Amino acid sequence: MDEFIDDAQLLRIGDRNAWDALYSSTSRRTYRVLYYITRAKQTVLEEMNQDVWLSAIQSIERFDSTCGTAVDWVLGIARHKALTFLRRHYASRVVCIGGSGDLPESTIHQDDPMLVSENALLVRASLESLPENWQYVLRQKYQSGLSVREIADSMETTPKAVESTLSRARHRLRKLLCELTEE
Amino acid sequence: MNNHFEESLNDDELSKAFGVDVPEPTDEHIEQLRGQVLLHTKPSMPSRKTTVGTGEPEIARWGRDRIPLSLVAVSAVVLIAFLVARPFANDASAGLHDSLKTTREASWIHGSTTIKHGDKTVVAESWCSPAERIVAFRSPQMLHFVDYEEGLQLSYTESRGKIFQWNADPGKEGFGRQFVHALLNDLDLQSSFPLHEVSEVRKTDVDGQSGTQYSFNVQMKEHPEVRWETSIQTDPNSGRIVLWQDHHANGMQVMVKFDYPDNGPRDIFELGAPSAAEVIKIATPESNLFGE
Repeated sequence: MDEFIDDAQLLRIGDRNAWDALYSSTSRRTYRVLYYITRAKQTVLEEMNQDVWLSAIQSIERFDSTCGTAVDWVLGIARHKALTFLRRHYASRVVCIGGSGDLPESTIHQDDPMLVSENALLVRASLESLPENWQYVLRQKYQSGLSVREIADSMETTPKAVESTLSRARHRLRKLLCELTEE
Repeated sequence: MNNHFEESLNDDELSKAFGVDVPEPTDEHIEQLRGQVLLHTKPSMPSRKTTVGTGEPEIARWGRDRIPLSLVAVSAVVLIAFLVARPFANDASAGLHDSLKTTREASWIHGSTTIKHGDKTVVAESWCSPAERIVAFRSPQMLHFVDYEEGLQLSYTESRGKIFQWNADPGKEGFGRQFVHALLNDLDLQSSFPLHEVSEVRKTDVDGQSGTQYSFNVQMKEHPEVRWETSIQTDPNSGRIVLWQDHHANGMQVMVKFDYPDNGPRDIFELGAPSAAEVIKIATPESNLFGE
């Protein structure tokens, strides 16, 4: 725990290794969260991802390590940015439809198959925001179809520990989903 | 959007979610953005352990093996600015103080930086005007310009072909944190390196009468293996800084040669950005961003 607090302090003073490690572990995850929530085009996603990280640097003083890890914090910024983008996107479309001008070029990815439901994308965005070991357990359970005992065996742990992780992961997932869908 | 998740989240929905295709960002995007993120950081030693990026130690190791470029390149220039204001305890410190004060009186300070680490060599240029509160940086990878008086900073990379603009707050972390502090606070050497121990300043003659060299050591308190020696050489006639070198314990060497032009870049276009490049303004977050 002490070491973690040290890292929070290092981020605040702009320590290069601390930021590089955080960026290396999380930059692709922030990009994916942005996609799952907005389904925006690649160019828009890249600009939003840049916005996420520059915002993280500018607002690092607000990071409270007692509320979660730095990874959680940056992913929270990504979710916030994505929802802000969606609000602006839908607002601009309503205004243009009411006026006489042409619709603006859509920034939403037009090639995505509509077979992918909105719910599945939101669930995936929330999954991406979970700790990676929790994602792993959920993936083994719901994608690979393994039983709790099989997961426990593969992780060299007890079924009780796996059940506990699954319970916490599902609880956190529901919480994240409620946050997203309340917007 | 619906809110049915509050009541239920069934196994089928979870299974479907894992079946969604995963779009991956391009490596080019990830590396360009990494450069912009690290531009706002301060150099630290590759051997220092960090737990910030949990679960991916191999990536973290890769990150630590990279040569710190941006702020290392500019830090030697901007350190001059804040060191000028600090009080000095001994004769060597007083001598360095005088040289730094003289240096800061120059309208523009220009530094040519060479960074060597193993078989890698990186070169960059930086400019600083303490009076006008401007810092500029140019490397083969990117251009960066900060005007603290106007409260804005701009960054350009050729591959993106766009200029990104956002706020520069003198009271917060930004491009050259120590430079910002130097403008706003009367810092001493110890205060300029938070979480580090800084030694007394030493003074030695260089090549007889041709100049004076000042040096001091910096060591991270929590990670004593993170340490380096800074040596600063002054011109015997003008008293200005002519050479700044950092020798890091991990073998990295940073050498900055200074000259004093009459003018420096006053915007990112004078730094080399094409005048036709689109400027994209990035908003500063206003609300509580934590995801809880």
